[in-house]
Amino acid sequence: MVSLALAILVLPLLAFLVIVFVTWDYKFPSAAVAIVAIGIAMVLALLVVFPQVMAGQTDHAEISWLRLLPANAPAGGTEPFLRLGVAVDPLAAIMLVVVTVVSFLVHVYSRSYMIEHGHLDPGYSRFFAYLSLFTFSMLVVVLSNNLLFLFIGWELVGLCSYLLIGFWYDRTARRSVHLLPPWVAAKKAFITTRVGDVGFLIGLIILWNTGGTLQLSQLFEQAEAKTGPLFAASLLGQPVLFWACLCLFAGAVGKSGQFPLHVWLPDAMEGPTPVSALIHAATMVAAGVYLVARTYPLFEAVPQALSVVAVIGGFTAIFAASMGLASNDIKRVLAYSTVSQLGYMMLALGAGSLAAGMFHLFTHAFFKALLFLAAGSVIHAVGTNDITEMGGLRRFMPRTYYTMAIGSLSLAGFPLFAGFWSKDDVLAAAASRAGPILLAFGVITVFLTAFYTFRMFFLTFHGKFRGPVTAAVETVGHHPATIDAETHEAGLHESDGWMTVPLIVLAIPALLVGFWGSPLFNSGFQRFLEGSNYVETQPNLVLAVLGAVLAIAGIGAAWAWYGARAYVTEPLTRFGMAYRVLNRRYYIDEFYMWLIDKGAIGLSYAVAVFDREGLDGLVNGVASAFASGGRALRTAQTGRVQNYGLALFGGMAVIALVLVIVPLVRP
Amino acid sequence: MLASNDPFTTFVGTLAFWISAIASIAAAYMMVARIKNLIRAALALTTVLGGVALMYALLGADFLAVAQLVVYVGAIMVLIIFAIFMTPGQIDVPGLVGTGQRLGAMAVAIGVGAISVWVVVITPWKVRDSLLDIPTAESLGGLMLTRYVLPFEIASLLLTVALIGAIVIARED
Amino acid sequence: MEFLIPGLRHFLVLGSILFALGMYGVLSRRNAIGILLNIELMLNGVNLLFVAFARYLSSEQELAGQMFAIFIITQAAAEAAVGLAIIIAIYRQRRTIQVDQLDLMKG
Repeated sequence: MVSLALAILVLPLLAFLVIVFVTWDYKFPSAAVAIVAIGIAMVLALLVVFPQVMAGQTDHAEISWLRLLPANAPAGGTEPFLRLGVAVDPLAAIMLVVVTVVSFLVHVYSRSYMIEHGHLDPGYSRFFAYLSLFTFSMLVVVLSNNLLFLFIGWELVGLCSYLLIGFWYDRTARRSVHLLPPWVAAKKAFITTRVGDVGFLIGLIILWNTGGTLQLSQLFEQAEAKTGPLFAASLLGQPVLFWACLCLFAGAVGKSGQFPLHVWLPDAMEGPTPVSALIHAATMVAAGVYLVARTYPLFEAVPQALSVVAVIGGFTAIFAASMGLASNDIKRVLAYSTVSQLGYMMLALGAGSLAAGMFHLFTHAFFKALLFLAAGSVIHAVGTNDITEMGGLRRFMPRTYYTMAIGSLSLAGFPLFAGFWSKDDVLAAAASRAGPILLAFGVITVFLTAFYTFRMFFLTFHGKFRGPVTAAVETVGHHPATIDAETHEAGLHESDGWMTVPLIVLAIPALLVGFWGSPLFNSGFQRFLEGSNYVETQPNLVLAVLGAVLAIAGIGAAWAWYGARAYVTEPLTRFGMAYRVLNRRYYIDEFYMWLIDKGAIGLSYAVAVFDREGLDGLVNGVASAFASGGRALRTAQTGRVQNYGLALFGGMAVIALVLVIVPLVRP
Repeated sequence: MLASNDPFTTFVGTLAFWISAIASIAAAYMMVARIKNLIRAALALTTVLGGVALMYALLGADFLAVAQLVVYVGAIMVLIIFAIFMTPGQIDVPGLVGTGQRLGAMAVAIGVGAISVWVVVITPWKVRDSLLDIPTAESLGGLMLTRYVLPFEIASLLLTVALIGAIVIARED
Repeated sequence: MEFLIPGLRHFLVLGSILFALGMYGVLSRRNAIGILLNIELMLNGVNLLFVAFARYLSSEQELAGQMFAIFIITQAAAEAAVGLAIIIAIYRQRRTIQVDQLDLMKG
């Protein structure tokens, strides 16, 4: 089965290479290559690998990549090799399905999304090349059973994220609601995740130096033994493994946009919407969660680390949800929502339930991708991201409307939809292990999530269209239509099949996939994932009901404020200062800029001054010392023979003096 | 003369020495520090040269005394005076340099002179016993062709080269 | 009264004085020929020293000091000839033989 996994892994890479070297100048063929490649991969994953794993088969294989000099071999290691390897087990199989399915649907969707006003985007081939490369990188992360190999994929994923966010690199800030031009947002994303990646790398180094290996199976053995070099006491009395886990988690914090490294996700929305759907909803940001899940035995061996994970996750959940309330950009709201839901996943993992965290990741991938793609459909039709300029779209885009409704209900946790089951699992895990405060955060966030999601939904689709007349942009293949002056409903069309079919396809799991993990189906998902580690738990009815009630209440509140009334001014502004703080994202961006300005730039300025004055001064000083010394000595060169003669005879006199005096002083 | 047993000869010699010595030093001093006119300076030098020739005679170097007079006074001084005539307009220009140089020169000269005199006076010279005055020409000639033949040949070469060189350099072309 | 009778030391002192006076003159005259004059004075002082040593210190047949003196006189002659030739040539070029104006090698 490893060969199949490798085939799945390599297909997107091949697509990338083919697009770059063969079909670069041909737009639609490039799209075709990518779509076909990922389609085959998806089929292989869904219909071959997944069933096999479900039947209980697992497999793995490694190769030795680099042989190190004996002096560099790790302390406790078995042999001086750096290895790369893949493994296929339930966890990997689930992610495999998620990545290939969502990636395939996004590829199909992009075929039409990247066409504006009937013109193909000039970077059409480049887009599909990057998408394929990204898929490959993500699959490396998923399939790897060696932390080094995973890190390689991790970095590649970061690169692709940068390339795709900054895809429209020659655009300045697009529209009024957006604040950063795409290339700046890409840099911000890359650098912020880099901060986390440094932590990740440090964690790798710690593990390599103390554990002697980066092979997950061997690390797990050491962790389970609860003794050994990994458990030697280190800073603050904690074992080495604790710090290693914390460092690895730092990488996850960066990639998954947890507080305090969440700042890049909202601005990453500058990228094309398919990118947001694939990368920043379903897959890349889930990589952080996946990392913790993959290395879970390590975390379980140091429960303090899990506590840290839970705290950060729980806090991020409510923190991001609060910011989602005050955003008017349809994609931004979804971005905050993503951060918040990732917080849920981290909370579940930190509370000791691998299954709950992964289950929520699984459902979230589908409904969030759906929501993003639907939002993209809306943006493509209306021409703006600003929900205050939308409204009443339900009449013109019925397929988008209904699919987005399904996605929103799932996100909000409306009973029976996929998100309801997984969110409930998370809350149950939090209740049992995470302490009251974090549980309260999680519960409050349910309400907030429902509220802001449906605020967005109602403002977009209900009421009357508030956009300017000229905002009626053509959709795919649409010609400029005459404007109906009375109702201002000019030329707003549903998107074409290439975009709406993926929406419909995604709506199905968004609705139904939750059942697989629900008590109704005997928690099949959780059993499959955890295998022998699965612990039977009683479903927490109180929490389930509470969750359902809060979700419905949130939707109701949103309806009352946004659905039923015409939107003239933002009702939330009555909260004045609080609203402004939320709208400006708690001014964290400003704070970071201030830090960098004082810190990094101040430091570099100091170094520059040191270099200029100190080092250059030293070098120049040496030179000028020589120069002035030379100038001083030159005065002895008068050119007059008599002066020279005086020096000559004077020297002779001194020698004579010495010759005479020395024998007297010292006979 | 100074080694003679005859007291009169010794007296004459002593007198001759002192007169000559004082004259030489006075002339030298005048030439160095007081005389500005070049021709007069050259004449003062000639006086010194004559005094030195007398010293040679007192020291029993008869050949050398005559050679001194013939070569130095007769040839070299004439040469110098010719040169002075050939570079006119320079004679009446004051011939002293800047203060620093002069003071340095004075210090060095006094220093060297003082050291030399002091060393000479202090050192216990081992003077040889017999100080006969005998004619030196024959001995000098013999030495020149046996022991000192190399410097002799080189000196002749030197003179040839100097002759040719001086002609070449001073030629008007 | 014995010190009045000239002995080795007298001659040596005389020679040294002449040498020192010559040295001062070399270093303080401005005219090139004047410098040459003083050089001759120095050479003579040295000659005197040599001859005095020859007389009082060396053995009967040695006379090394006098040989020295002869060769020094020879050399002085050659040097005066060439030196004066050079001075004349410089005079023709620059119309001056004041050594403080001949400072092309300055710096």
